[in-house]
Formats: sequence, C-alpha cells, structure tokens
Amino acid sequence: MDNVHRRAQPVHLTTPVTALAYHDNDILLSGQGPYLKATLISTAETLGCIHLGQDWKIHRIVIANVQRITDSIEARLFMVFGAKSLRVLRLCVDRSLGNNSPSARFQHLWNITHFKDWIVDAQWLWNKADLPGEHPTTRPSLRPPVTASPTHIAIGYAHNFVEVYKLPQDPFTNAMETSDKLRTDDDLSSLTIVYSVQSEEHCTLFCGRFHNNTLEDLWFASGTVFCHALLWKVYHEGGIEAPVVKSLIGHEGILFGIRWSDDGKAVCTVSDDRSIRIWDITHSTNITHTTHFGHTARVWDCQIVGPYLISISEDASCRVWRNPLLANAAETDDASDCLACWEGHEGKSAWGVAVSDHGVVATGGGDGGIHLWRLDSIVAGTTDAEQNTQDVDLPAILTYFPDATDNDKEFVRDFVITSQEQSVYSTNTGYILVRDDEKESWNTLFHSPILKNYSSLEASACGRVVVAGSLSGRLVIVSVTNEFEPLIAETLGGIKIQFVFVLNGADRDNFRIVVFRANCTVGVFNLTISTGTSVATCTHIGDLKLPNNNKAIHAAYFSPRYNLILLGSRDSTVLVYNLSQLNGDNDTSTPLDSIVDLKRCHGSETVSSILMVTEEGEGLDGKDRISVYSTGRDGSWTKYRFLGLPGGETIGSTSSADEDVDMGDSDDDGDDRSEIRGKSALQRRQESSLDERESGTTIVLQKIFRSKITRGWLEQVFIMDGELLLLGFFNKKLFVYNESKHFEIFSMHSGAANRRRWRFLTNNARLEHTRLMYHSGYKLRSFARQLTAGSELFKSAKLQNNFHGREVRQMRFLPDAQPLVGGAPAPIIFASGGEDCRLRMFQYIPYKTKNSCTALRPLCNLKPSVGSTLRCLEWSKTSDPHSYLLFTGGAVESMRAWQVGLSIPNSYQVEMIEDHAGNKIPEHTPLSLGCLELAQCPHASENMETRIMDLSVFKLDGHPGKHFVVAVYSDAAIRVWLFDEVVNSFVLAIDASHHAKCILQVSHLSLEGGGVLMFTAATDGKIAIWDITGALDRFLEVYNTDEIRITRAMSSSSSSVGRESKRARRDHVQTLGKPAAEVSVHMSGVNGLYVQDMGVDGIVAVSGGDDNALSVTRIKAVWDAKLRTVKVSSAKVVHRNAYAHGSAIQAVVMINKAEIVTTSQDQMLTVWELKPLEDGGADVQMIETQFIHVPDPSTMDTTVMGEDQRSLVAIAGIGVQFFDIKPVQE
Amino acid sequence: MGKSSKDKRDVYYRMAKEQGWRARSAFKLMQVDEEFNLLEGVTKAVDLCAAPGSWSQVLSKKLVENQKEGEEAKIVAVDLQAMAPLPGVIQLQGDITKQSTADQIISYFDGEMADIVVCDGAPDVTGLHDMDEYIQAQLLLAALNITTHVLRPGGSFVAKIFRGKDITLLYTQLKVFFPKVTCSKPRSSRNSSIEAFIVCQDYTPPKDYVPNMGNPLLDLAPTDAQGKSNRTIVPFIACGDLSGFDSDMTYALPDSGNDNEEYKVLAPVQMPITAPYLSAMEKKRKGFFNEQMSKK
Repeated sequence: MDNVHRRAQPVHLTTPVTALAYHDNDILLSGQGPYLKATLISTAETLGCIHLGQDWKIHRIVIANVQRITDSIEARLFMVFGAKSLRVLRLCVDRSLGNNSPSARFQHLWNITHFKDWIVDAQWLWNKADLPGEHPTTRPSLRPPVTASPTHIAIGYAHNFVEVYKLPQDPFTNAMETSDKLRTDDDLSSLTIVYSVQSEEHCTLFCGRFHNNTLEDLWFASGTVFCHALLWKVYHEGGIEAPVVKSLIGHEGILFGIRWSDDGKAVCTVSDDRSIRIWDITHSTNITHTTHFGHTARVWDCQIVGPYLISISEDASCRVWRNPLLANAAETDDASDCLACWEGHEGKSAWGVAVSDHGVVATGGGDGGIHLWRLDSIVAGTTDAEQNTQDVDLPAILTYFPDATDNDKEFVRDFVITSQEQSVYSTNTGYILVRDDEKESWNTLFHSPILKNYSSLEASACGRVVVAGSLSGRLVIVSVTNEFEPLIAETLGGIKIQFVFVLNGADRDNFRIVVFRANCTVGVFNLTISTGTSVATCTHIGDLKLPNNNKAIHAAYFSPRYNLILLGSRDSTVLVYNLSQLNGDNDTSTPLDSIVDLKRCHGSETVSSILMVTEEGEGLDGKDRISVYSTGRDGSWTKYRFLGLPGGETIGSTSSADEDVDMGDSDDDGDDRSEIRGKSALQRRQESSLDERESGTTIVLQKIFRSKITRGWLEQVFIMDGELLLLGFFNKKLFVYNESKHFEIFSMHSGAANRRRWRFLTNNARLEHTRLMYHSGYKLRSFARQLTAGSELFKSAKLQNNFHGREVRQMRFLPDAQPLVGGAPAPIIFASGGEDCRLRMFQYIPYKTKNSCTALRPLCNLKPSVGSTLRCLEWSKTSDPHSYLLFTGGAVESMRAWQVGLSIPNSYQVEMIEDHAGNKIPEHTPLSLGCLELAQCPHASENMETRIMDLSVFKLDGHPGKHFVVAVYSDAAIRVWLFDEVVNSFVLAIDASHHAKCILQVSHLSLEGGGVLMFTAATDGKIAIWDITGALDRFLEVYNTDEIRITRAMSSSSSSVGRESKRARRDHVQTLGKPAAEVSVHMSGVNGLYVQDMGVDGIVAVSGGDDNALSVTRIKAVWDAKLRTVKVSSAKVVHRNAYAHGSAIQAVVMINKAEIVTTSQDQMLTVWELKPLEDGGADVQMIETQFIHVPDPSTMDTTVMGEDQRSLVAIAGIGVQFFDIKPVQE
Repeated sequence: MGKSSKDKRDVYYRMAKEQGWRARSAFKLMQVDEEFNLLEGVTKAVDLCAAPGSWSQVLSKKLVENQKEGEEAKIVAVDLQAMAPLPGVIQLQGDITKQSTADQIISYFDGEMADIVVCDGAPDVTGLHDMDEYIQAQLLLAALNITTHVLRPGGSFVAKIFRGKDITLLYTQLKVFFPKVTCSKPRSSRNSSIEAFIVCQDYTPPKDYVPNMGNPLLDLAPTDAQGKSNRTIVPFIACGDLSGFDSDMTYALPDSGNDNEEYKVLAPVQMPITAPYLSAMEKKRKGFFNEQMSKK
C-alpha cells in the first residue's frame, strides 16, 4: 500500500446517513460514508464502527438470514454496497454478557471494488430446496426456519442488467473467529459469474429492486429516467436480453426509488414528480395505481409496511401514509392519506429509512443525524385514535341528584384531569363529581347551590386538590382523595371568579391559589392542608395590583423559593410580584405593586403560560441561573433571565451568554423578532435599569430569546425530563412539540384552543401516558395514550446528533481556547455556517469513544435570519479568556457580531481516559456554550443582493475592545468595520472598491510595530496587497474623540427597530488609494488564500484557484515606524503548480511555516512542503495526498491539538472530516 | 424577495433575457468559442440535450455567418424533452443512448458527418454527490458514444462536466478519442459552480474503432488491470474576456433614469414546455400544500 508513511490520519467523519438496516429490534446498522456502524437503539450505545471503503460510500445494506451459534450468540451475513463496490460481512452478536449490552463484531468475508457498473441493488439467493414454508422465495432473511446459507448473490446495475455470482467458500471456519484486519481488495475473479442478463430496455436507472430469493423466481424492478417502472424476470432462457413483463406508466418524473411489497403483489415507486405511487400488479393486464402527494420536494424512497407506507424525501421529512391496498374504499379520505409527517432532520433530504418489527422507524438524514420514531405514536393523530377516545357522558342525574326536577338542565360546566385514571367535573346543577376513568364510575365530591349555573374549575398539579370558583366570588376547595372536608372560602367583594390558578407552594401540603375576578382584580390565597386533622385552611394573603390596562390574566406561576408570583396577561405583559413585600404590612386591602412589568412579551398577543426554573450553581461565577419561560398566542415561546434574586446572577454580570438555544425555523415573524434580538446589549441594559428604577428593587427580568413555533397558538410550556415541551393549537389540532429536540411528539384533532375547552396531562417528555380531554361540539371527549408496551424500546429519539443539513461554507476553530478547569486539555471548539443559514458550534472531543464516529458535541444551533446563507465567520478574543466575539457574514449583506461564553458545571472533575494508543490522558471537558447576538452591521451597498464573501478580523495594540472586521463583498466593495465592545455596534471605518469583480478572499497580516497589510483576491485571479495602516490611523484619530463615540452610541440605540432602515453612516469613513501591489496568480477565481509571515524569508501568500492550481507568492514588505507605513518592495508569484488538483481548489491552510494543506472539489487532501529559496523563489513538494469523504469541500481550518503540537485539520462541505497531522518521525 | 432579485443577483441571466437567448448558458458557449474558435468554418453541428435551445441559438447564429454560397448550414438539436421550435434548427426528440437516434442524426447530413458535437446536458442532481457524478458521467459517455457515430475525424466535441472526484477518469477516456482535451471554464459560469466544459479537439478515433451503440461506454476504474492509475489531469483554461462581466458579482441594476420608475423585469425568453413537477405545482397552486407547509 502506498500510505505506509501517511501523516494525515482521518480521525473523525460526520456525513449523511445513506443506509439503514435493522439486525433485530435493538441493533441498527447504519452506513455513513465509508463507515458502517452498529448501534443499540435502546441505549444509543455504539457497538461497533468499521471503515469499509477507500473512496466509496455505503448506499445500501442488504441482510441475509440469522445463524444461531449458541443460545446467546448469533451471526448474520450482510452485504453493503455503494458505487461499484460491494462488501460481504458477518455481524456476530454475543448476548452472553448478562445485563450488559451485547457485544457486536464484524467479520470481513469479501470485498469487491471493481464491478462493471454502478450497483443499484443486490440480493441474496438461496437454493430453492433450502427454503421451506408457504412462500419459499420471499424474505428468507427474516424467516426463522431458514438455516441454510445463501449460495449466490444477484447484482442489479444502473444500465439495467443483472449478474449472478456464486459465493466462494466462506473464509472463516467459525462465526466467532476474530479478524479485525480489513481484508485487502479482492479481485472480481474471486467470485464466479454464473448468469448475466440485460433487460431488453437499454437505459440508465436511478433505482432498481429485486424480489424473491431464488434465481428461478427472481424479479427485477427498474426505475427509469423516462418515468416508467419496468418489471422483468431475471432468469430467462431465450437469449441474453430479457423481455419487460410489466410496465408501470404514470409518473411524470424520473423514478428515484422502487420497492416491492413482501408478497410481490404490489410495487411502490417514488419520483421527481413529488408523488408516491402504489401499483397493484396482481392482474397481469389491468394494473391500477394510487397516487399520494404530500412531500414538498422530491421523494427518495417509500416502503410498504403492513397498514402503512413509510416514505423519505428531499424535504428532510419522513411521512407515514395509509396503505391504500388495505384501505376500505368507503373510509378513504384523500385529504388524510398521510398519517404523520416526522420532521427531525435539518436542511435537505432524509436518505435512509428502516423499520423494525417493533415498529420503530429509523431515519438517516443528509444532516448526518439518525432519528427514531414510533409507528404506534401515529395512532394518536389518526382516525385510529378513535379506539382510544371515548365520549364522557354524565351519569343519569337522578343517580347523584335524587331531588332533581325537570327544570334542572344538567351538563358539564368545567372539568379537570386529576390523574391518568381520574377526572373531576363541575356541573350546571352545582355538583362536583369525580370519575374513575378505568371503572367509568362516578362519585359526588361536593354539592352546593353556589356552584349552580357557573363554576370555573382548576386542579393542583398533584391532582389532590380541586378548586371551583363561583359566580358569587366564593371558592369551593375539595379533596379528591378525601384528605380534608370541603371548604368554602370568600375571595372579597363577591365578584364572579373568572379564572382560578392552583399553584404549588413550599411543600406538598401547601398551595397558592390565584383568582382573577370579573372586575379585573387578582387575589392571592394560601391553602394549607393539615393532614393530621383532615382540615384545610384557606387565607387571603393579599391582592395584586394590575397595571391600568386591566386585561385578563391567563397564566400564573408561584415560586416558593423566592416568594414570587408571575402573571401573564392577555395584553402580552408579564408581571412579577414579590409576596415578601406583604409581610411587614398586614393590610391586605391595598393591592401589591408589581416589581416587574415587562410588556410585549408576545407581540400584542396573550401570554398563555409561564414557568420559572432555577438551575443551582449553573450561572456565572457559580451563582444560580434563574430562567423564566412563557408561551403566547403569537405562536412563540420566550425565554427570560431573572437577575438580582438571592443567590442568583446579578445585573452587573458582563456576559449574558445563553446556553444552547435555538432561534427556531419560523420565517414569518421577522419584525417581531428583530425587535428583541436586534437590540444590543447596551439597550438591554437600559431596559433592565428602567425596570429597576420603577420597582425600586434590583430584581430584573430580561428577555433573552424568543422563537416562533407555529402560526397558531402556543398554550402551554412545560419542562419534563430536562426537555422543553410546548403545547399548541394549529388548524384545530392540538400538538406537543419537543423544542429541545425539534420534533412534534404528538398531534390530534381536538377542536379549537379556547380556554376551558381542553385539558392535557402527561407523565414524561415522551408523553408515554397522556390524557387529553376536550369539548367537541356538545360532547366531551377523552383520549388516553398509553405507550407502556415497548416504551423501553429506546431512550432517546435522537440516536445520533446531526450536523448542518446543507453545505457548510465556512468553519473556524476557536483560537487559543484555554482549559476551563485545571488539568483538563484546552477545549477544541469550532463555529460553522453555510447554506442552511444556521450558525452552529460544536465541541470536538478526541477519544470520546474508541469509535471515531461520535466525537462532535453540538453546543449551539442558531438561525440568525431566514434565507441568508452564512458564507464566512471569524473569531476575535476579548479580555475575558472564556469569552469571545464571533463575526458572521453572508447573503443579503448581513453581518452580525455574537458574544460567545464558555462554562462548565462547577462540580466537574477531570477524568483520565485511554487514548487510541492506550495512554492515560485527561478527558476533554464537556462544555456549555452561550451565544448572544450583540449587533447587526448596517447596510452600505446599494444592491440588497450583495453578498459578504469573506471576513478577516484583527485588533490593534493600544486599542483594547476594538475589533476591526474586514469584509469583502460580491459587488467588489472592500470595507473595514470597527466593532467597539463599549457600544456594541459597527462603525464603518474604511470603504473602498477594487478588482471590479466579486471578491472571494480577504486576509490580513499585523506587522510588528503596528502596520497592517490587507490581502484581497477575486474571481479575476488576482491578489491585491494593501497597506491600510494610514487609513486606520486617520479613522481612529477622529473616532477616538469622545464626541463621536457618544454620537455613535446614541445612533445605535435609537435605530434598532427596522433593521432594513439601518444604513451605515459615512461621516468619518476613510478611503483607500491603490493597492501597494497586485499580482495575477490564477486564471480565474482565487478560492483559498493563506498569508504567512515567514520571518527573515518575508511574507508568503499561498493560494488555490478554481483553475486547479496552487500558487505561492512571495512579498517583501518593510515597516517604517516613523512614517507609519508599510513599504511593499516586491510581490511575485514564485511557484505555480497548474496540476495541483484534479478540480478547483477550495481551501488552503498552512499548519506551520513549512507545510501547506490544500483541498479541492476532487475530494482530495494534499499536504505540501514549502521551502523558501534564498534566490527569492520557493520549492514546493507534495508530501502526501489522500481521499476525503466530504463532497463539495468548501472550507478548511486547523488548530493545534495536544501537548505534542499535532495539527488537527478539519474540512467541511457536506459533512465534516477531521485529520490528525502528526510531525514526521523519519 | 422581489421578482427582480434574480436579475439583481445574476448579470448573465439579465443579459440573456435582454438579448433574446433562451438561457444564460448561451454566453458559456460563446465564451468557449471565443477562446478556442471552435465554430470557425463549421457548417454542420449537432446539439445534444439541447432544450431549452440556447446553444442551438448560438450555433444557428454562427453557422449562418459561416454559410457559403450553395452550402447550407445544418444544426440537429436532440433532446429527450420537447423543445420550442427554432428557425433553421432541425429538432429531434429522442434518447441519445439509442442507435436509432444516431441513425436519424446521420440521415440529416446526407451521408456527411458533423463538424462539431456539443452537449450542455445535466441530469437531475439528487445531492448524493457520487451518484450525481456517475449519472453525469453516463450522460457524457452517451454523448461521446453518439459522437463517435456522427463526428468527422478532426472535428470537435464540447460538453458540460461536473469537476468532481472522478472527473480525471473521464478525462482519460476522452483522451482515447481526442488528442487535445482541455477543461474550460467560461466567465459566465459561476466560480462557485462545480460545472465546467470539456473541449475535445481533433477527433481521432483509435484505429479500427467501430462505433457501437448497443454497448454503452462505461466509466473507467480508478486503476487499470496493471494497477496503473487511470486518472489524467488535463489543462485548465478560463475563457471569456477578463474585463467582461463576472457571473459571481452583484451588479447594480441599470438606472432607469427616473427614480420613480421601477426597474422593469423582463419575462424569460422561452418558458419551459414541461417539467416533472407540474402536477405537484398544480396542486400547490390550488392550495394543497398550504396547510402542511405552513405548519412549522
């Protein structure tokens, strides 16, 4: 092999998941580029991960039958193929390890890499005599009686021909024989071809599928580019061309996927035309089909699984449909043939799908994530839900109200769910009834005329206490479990009680009751149950003063720890009251003033729910982090931070960085959102101090984040199992959305969202035990979902974290990251952005496991704005070693500044682990990262479509807190912006234009003494070198007068509202004259540029071009301290390799002063050695080159790793791959 | 995003509409021709994968200029899809992998052969890069195969390629038939695009080579039977005037001279005749997708 002296070692790959197959209900095989991974879905544990190919990726996994070795050990043959290569492996699973996870090992049987043509499908074939049973030739791989091994494999090719090979002697004598050694490539000649046939239709296929597992009965279905599916029998006696038996005609676009039903009576096709078609082929002449539209982009695959069709698409979703072959024609409703749309993948395309016998659907995304879904959850959203839904009818009135007369009109006034098996009702005749929902039996809890004709019911979260508010302003408090005698309490004034809130108090027997009266006043009561005496007491604590606008309260939360009441109102205001302020003052008749009055929390819509969470010691400086969440009828949820509470974070904290929040996908709330997120930290501080002054306390509630989830309403926020769940309504459907993991867990038709028309109760984040009751017309419906059977199937729906869902355009490692805890290695963190318009940050953890597949920890996932590709990003350091600035740029001239803070839990202890070589090393600390948008850069171009192509950021000695951001634009503009930490805003410092072309690259070099050289390169293939020292000096001179700074601060704080209206002020802008030098280095676009100060050898600019060439330009420049100018005496191309790569070079970095790394569209990584020669030239030698598994590589960056100063190089495009480049040990 | 945003983003798109070309790709062929003078003296041309017809338009314009007394220029445009008619261009709806298509093309030239074969075809890109490259390679090889039937020795072949990981294998295969193979990138093709054009000159089929449509040319393995690499890198030439327009650059829209007057957006010269997603589009127009699309 040629790579004995390999220096760049691939150490991690994240790439689209293109193939999935279950071994059994718990072990999932996945193909991720050249890696095959076995994962235990119950625990998300990786059992094994092997590298299979040199330069191909796995497109499909085809399993054979299971061979039982012992009671606890089994083995299974399977094939993986991709492009023209195929590998046969055996998976050996050992479950003899007791309660521990099973072990899984792979044996490599054969590896054939040079098949004639692109493989579209492969099939195991058996001798017919070896296959007992009713349908001997179908799916022996899944049938237990089949013990014989397959004898042949059939391979279907993209040119519509099939070859059948005889399998040679198994190289292993024993399934348990270990062989970790990868077999080197076998020649095709190690397999014997026994049969070959071409379809009579000569054409190119995107897809094909075999049916049946004996040569005699083998069929092939070809999905053609001319929109037809062709079915033909492979084994054909007369001649080399096999006739087409059936043509399925109807699609309007290329076929991308084709599958047979298990019984071979139906074929399922998917197409460019966005449709799924199911063909009933039982009749040879009359082929009928059904068509299913719903995916919003091309459909890649669909399979028939019992009563369902399961499809995956370019729209990144997985959909479940009703199998039309089983549907009762009378019930068929065109509009509802799609039963579920699972959207768990980001960006573009779900590529792989597999379904287990237990009904767990695994999907693999273009984003590199694997998601698990449950078919049984579909029951909830379909007419099948009927069987779990029942009408609740009151018992005959005389059974509980013997004195009822005909005048007593009886119906349910209000209802609450108190437990999974119990619900409580208030009736029109003044009864409170409890229903045992299992036995469907009723009992009277209370009866009084005061609840006649009106009652407003609420239960405590524990379900023990039910409180009814009456027309006459009284509260009826009853124990559902008979813990105390029913209690009637007055609430002052005899005003009708519109809403009641029963809030948890300090302990399980203590509650706060908040009542909202019809005259828009709010009362607070204390309820204490004395369990010893079976007595409950309810006392009025005081009233709360609402602001003048007097709008109804829809949400309330009590925090016993801080003695605070939080209210959310219909006019979008959040109010906070400090009940401790009542203590010294026993006059409860004066309403208590709020300490926080935060308006427009949800635009102008109702705040529908609110809750507060304290994370002890998780805040800055080890203080408690106190967060508040609210939902609103604007369809969004808002997160706030409480500052100034005892033990919590305080206002003085400089960083308000937030952990792992997502800006959401929403695209229609731009204005509202910018209002909040567009504010600079300065304004936030102003907002805070305003609250402070008004309240006379130091308690502040800051809005830090808001995300729109639905066009409908959000009605409830709850945190369960550490996951943020949101309940909302859209189109008369109730849905529960897991915001932490971004998917809809549950949805069902439930009518409108009006308050008091529905109740929802669940036990955990997976909603395993869930109850929903709602009014449907005059009926009260009760739905129960019990996912007990198989809830142990898997713990996490996200089996594998995702990466960007589309091409990454730039990634940058955090420079000089410092360990956050003594003894730990410096963390390796990078930020990336691209076509999916998301800004993401990840921590790279080497040696996290022995398997290199799982070493990226997602830290943050933001979508700064819709439809704006992130093209470039650069870090800058601040005076705080754990706080950074990040600048991002991209489409529609958008540029933003972000503050990024790093933290770890205080309790964290560094652990020692073994690296690949078995050495004990400290483990990389898993970090938390907070990212907060500080500012948006104003627009300076005439044309809104102008793109920011690249950034370079530097600071100047003697100017702390000032970051200079050089941006180059697609309209040939070159601008230097000052980002001043003091005012958190961008000021235009230098505005110039050059190249008269789209500028692609910018770089800079700070010289000792203060000079700054700037390098720009464009699609004209030229590099321009600029001395910008003078222009910076002139700008700073004017900027540094206090007057201007103040003006800036004022202007930035007053123009936050419409971001479109914000244009750069030009009053102190400097221009640039001509570049100090300009050299023509490439024939067309310069895609990679890296500038290095070589000390005595001067400066080199290494560049890679669209013309496949690598160029080295040497520059001589001298800093004149007196004149404060850089004199560029020469700049010339000293090396040019026109054949450096087979395609356009996309990125260039230098990992040290002697080594260049390049990558190109040809998917190669090449390391070059650079030696500056004394005559002013340069010698460049290729050291090594190897294939990378990142299609469309667009960006590369490098960082130093470990004590031995190895270089870590990452290349990102579609996915990301990491290489460990070790020093030469010759 | 307004209707004019594509005009703003893409100068060649705008210019194509202004100058009456059916697609911006017309400029690509013109710029390749400027560099290589491929159309000099050419009177017989074949345009494969011709729809919507912009290359046929360019060929038509140039070939009419080249036309000599008594000699008529001939352009045969072939596509799987129907194409709106173009004056002076013979249109053929057919599959370029079929012998019958080759025979039909030849029949139009009265026993003579074509001077040039061009192919601007690109398959539907799925996003699975290895498969997309494979399909593109098959399209190119099918075009090469049909070229071996219809091109006169010494003639040229120009085709769109994706410069992906296996492009060097294709170069090797093209070198079998053409001694001079150059990879060319016109300035009207975006820097950010993976596309380029392969310019193959001086058609010289191997001795005793018999064109055969029944046997498709298949792409090469990375190494031959002797383990020698099958990869070749061919020269790269950027073409088009460096001082001309840059397809990546954002240009200001031409000033209408009146601030109150909106920039006028021209309609495309020729709307597509057919597309695979027409039914889906029709459903979308009727509001079918609205509910589900707006949900999240």
